[in-house]
Amino acid sequence: MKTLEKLWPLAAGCLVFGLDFLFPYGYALWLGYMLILIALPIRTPPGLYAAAFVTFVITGGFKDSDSLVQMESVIFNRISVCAAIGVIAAILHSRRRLYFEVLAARGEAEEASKAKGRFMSYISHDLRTPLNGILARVDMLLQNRSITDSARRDLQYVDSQGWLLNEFIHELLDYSDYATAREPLELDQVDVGSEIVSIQRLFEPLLHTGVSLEVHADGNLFIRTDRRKLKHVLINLVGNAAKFTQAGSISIRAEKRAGIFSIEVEDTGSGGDAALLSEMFREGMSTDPARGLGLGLPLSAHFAGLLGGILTASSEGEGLGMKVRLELPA
Amino acid sequence: MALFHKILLVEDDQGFAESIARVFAEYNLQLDTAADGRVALMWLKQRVYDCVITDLRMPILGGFDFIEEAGARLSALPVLIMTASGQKNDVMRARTLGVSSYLMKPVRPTDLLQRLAETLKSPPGLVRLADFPLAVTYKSLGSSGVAITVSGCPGEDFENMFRDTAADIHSHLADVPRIELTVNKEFGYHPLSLSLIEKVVAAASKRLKVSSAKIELKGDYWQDAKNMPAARSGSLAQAVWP
Repeated sequence: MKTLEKLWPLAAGCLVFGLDFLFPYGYALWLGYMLILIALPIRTPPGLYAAAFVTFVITGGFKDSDSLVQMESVIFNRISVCAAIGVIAAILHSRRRLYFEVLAARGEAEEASKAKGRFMSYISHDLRTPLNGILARVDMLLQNRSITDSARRDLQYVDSQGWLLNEFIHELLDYSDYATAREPLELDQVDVGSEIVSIQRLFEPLLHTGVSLEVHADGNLFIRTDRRKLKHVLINLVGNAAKFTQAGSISIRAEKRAGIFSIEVEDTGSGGDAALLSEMFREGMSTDPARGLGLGLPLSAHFAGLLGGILTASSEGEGLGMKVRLELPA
Repeated sequence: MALFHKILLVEDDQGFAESIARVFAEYNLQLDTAADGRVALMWLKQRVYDCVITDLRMPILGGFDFIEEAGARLSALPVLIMTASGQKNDVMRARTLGVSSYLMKPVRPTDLLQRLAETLKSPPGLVRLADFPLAVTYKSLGSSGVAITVSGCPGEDFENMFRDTAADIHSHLADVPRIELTVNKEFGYHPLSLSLIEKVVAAASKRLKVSSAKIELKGDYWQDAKNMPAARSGSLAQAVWP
């Protein structure tokens, strides 16, 4: 098998040589050359395209070469061209093997990434289960009116630290998403309308009681972008809105206007002052248990940048709701 | 119509299930717990519930499999999922199974109660038993006996309270020909109200030497109690009710 593989470029050369005898004017050479290119499922680097172009120019000279007088040089030329094609074929062949190796490696990497995802989900589940038990009892004690004020303060401290720990666990998953930030963009035609509806369906059972989630996404809302990264941003924005809105409504509004594609997530939740608005896109440790580590929004802003867009937030003030806007080039 | 709601909790974390049980005991809720989906299926076959709360990851039979296997038995009931898994797939699957709420652990028992109050549509809704403090009073009716009035919800001290009242009557009135027992509606918020009242009335009538035929039942409570599944088999019911 190994020897056959080595003989493969030679066979390709012979094929082209034979085809050239069957069809005059050197067209066969082009045909054979194109066949080799098409037959190999490979992303050829620019260098090989350059080599292909040079070969194309040389073989172009064969058009007028059916004169008997020039036969000798013609044959010499043909042999040299076939050798060149053989070399290209050999390069392509070696690349071909590389291509399959890359394919296999990518498969393994995807498998590893899935395994990591499973691992993270188990870890977060298993960390949350005992935490749930602790926080449930703390809540029961806090509901008890007969405890002393100092015991109540201690319990409130345990409670807030417990919820901070829960945020850590939650954002541990976000942090693992940083790996995807380094992945190249996969551009695709994305129907933002249907993506938003699926996000609405995802979040409706997670909302605080009495909070409604409305979607305003009409008309042509197709955009060429990276579906996964866009969805990550939207899930993060709606997730934040769901978390900080205890009453009222959350609305997602998508529209395409004047070359700008905008998606707005507006809520009637806890909002924030100017200090929070300037802080919240900055990556870093937050000490506020209600806010968590603050990894989600910076990562979303980073993704928005990768998509060629921008993420902005506005709020009338604390307790007056929040509006976060993602703008992408349409 | 019963004045309390019957809840099935499917949860493999015993400690957490106990927390929930202790909190629920303060409300008009009757709770059955199952440590996994298989046990929950058995409960579902035997009893009628107003709401089912289930975890997802459990040994033997997990939450989703339980919901699917229960099928029609659950389709008319509100189902709340309470889980430490926040995976997108799980939330979507819950959605397609028609689950009413998806709560992420950690869950505060008070938050769960709030969600439950939203979910339980039928009257009387969620009632805190402590909001109706128990009172047992009596009044002599002279030759026609004694009138005992029970109002509010029974708590841990109910049996003692009733026994003390009976002792008090016994020490003040030499002869009690009949008892007029008035029980107010709120008494029925307690899921075990009927067996509690039967037990204490049996003890009291023995003490006061009143045959159960001489006990006259008054008050709104008995209207609701008649429809309780255990009503017809109780000793009091057999003797007094037509």
